[in-house]
Amino acid sequence: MNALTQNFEVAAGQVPVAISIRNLCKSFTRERRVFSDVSFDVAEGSIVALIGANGAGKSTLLRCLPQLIDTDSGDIEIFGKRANGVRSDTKATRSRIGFVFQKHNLVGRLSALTNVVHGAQARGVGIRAWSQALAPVELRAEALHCLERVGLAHVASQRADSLSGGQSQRVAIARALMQRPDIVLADEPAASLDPQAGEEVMQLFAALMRREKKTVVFTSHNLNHALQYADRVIALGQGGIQLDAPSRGLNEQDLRNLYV
Amino acid sequence: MSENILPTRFDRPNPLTFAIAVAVGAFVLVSFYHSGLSFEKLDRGLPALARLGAQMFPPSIERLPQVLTMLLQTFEMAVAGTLLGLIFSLPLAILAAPSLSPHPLCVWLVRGLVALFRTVPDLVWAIVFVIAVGLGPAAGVLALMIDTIGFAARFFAEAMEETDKGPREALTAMGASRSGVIFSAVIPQALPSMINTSLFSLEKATRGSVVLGLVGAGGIGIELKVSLELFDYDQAATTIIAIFILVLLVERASTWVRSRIL
Repeated sequence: MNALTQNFEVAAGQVPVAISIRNLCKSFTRERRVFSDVSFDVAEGSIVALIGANGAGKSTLLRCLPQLIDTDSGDIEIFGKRANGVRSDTKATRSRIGFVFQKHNLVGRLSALTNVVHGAQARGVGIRAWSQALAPVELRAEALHCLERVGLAHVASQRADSLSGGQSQRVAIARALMQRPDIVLADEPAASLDPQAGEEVMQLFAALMRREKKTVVFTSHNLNHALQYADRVIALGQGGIQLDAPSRGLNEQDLRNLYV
Repeated sequence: MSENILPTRFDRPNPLTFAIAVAVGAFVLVSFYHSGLSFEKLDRGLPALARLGAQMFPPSIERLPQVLTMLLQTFEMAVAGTLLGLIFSLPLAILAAPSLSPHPLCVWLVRGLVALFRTVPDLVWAIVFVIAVGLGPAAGVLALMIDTIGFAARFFAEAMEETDKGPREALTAMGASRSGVIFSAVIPQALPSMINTSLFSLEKATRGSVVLGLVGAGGIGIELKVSLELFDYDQAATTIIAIFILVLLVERASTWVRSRIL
């Protein structure tokens, strides 16, 4: 299913909507409006790339979804439930959203396995998910399985700060999987890696997310990644959406023109 | 040669900075004058010091078993006081760290309490606890506990504040609880610094515990006080050497542990 048909089906109510954003506005100061009146839906199981120049608001928009940043106005719904404003259940919303950061955000002193076990904290496991040493056997086994899925079971007991950038990002993906999320957000997951490692991480990330039928929104400055791995590309710029189209009909020059 | 004018080597101070510098300099001079320190006094004092030194040697080993027993008690007080202090420091540090505390008012109150613990000298706390729980090592342990909290809670809080915010954000984004974020992301990162602070606390408490006996709060201080008051300077020398060896051993052990763990 390509993004064009997905959009159509979303509009026709055939495909469930995972994320619904309506008239979203965000500014950091009175003079500096990041974006305003942004609206779009993301169909369940689809992969959407958010692109745009520095300062266009890609990361800000992504961080608004799990309420890491408060919005000024507008609505966000996650699977039909309000996800911003006073009526939202922040914790419940966050538990359904996995987040892969640009700089992996692992705890360097802890083992890869413990970092992955941390992902279970989204499920209310409590103190047992603070460390692999406290985790019950089934949780440890699940964490190891998550590492297997990203091809890193052999580094389970290694400290996270001893891993390469690409390995660290894969462990961060495993931590997101451990969360058992319905939606995965990724903020420039390959930006801090060398081209080879970045390509490998994006390939693995997209393949895993497709296999697991996760709804994904990722930001990227790499236009090839947007075209190659996403069903749909949304370009932010000049305070709003400049382009929202299926990736299949686009080429790199179309996207590059948006930066001019 | 360049046509541009070279900048001056030193910036010309503004009048306020200059006035403050003059005032500080004047205060330093007045402080020396009021202390009464003079070459005449040093001239008289040095021979007296030499006489005291001569009376101290050779150190007497007559009361060595008692000195060693009191030394052990002193170290036990330091260990117990430090451990209790560290245990209470952890929750207080979390409450005193602005990014972890539940409320800014809580940060303000806890920081105030910790500052009070730190600014009042341990000898004063020892007097307070001697009045409260009576003479003996229990008062010393409580005084050392308070002193350790004043030191360790502040540095624990700073260590936690300085940790990388990334892992915290990652756990927050997935909906982890506040305690989950603290114990999974913050404390593991702050741990090396916290271990360092804990070892320094033990060194500090060992040094501090030596003098607590002077006010009756247990430990070897009472032994030193009695020796000096009875002019048994050779016995006082034994006590001082024993204290020196204990403090040195604790510092060496602490350095070794630091190098092994960190």
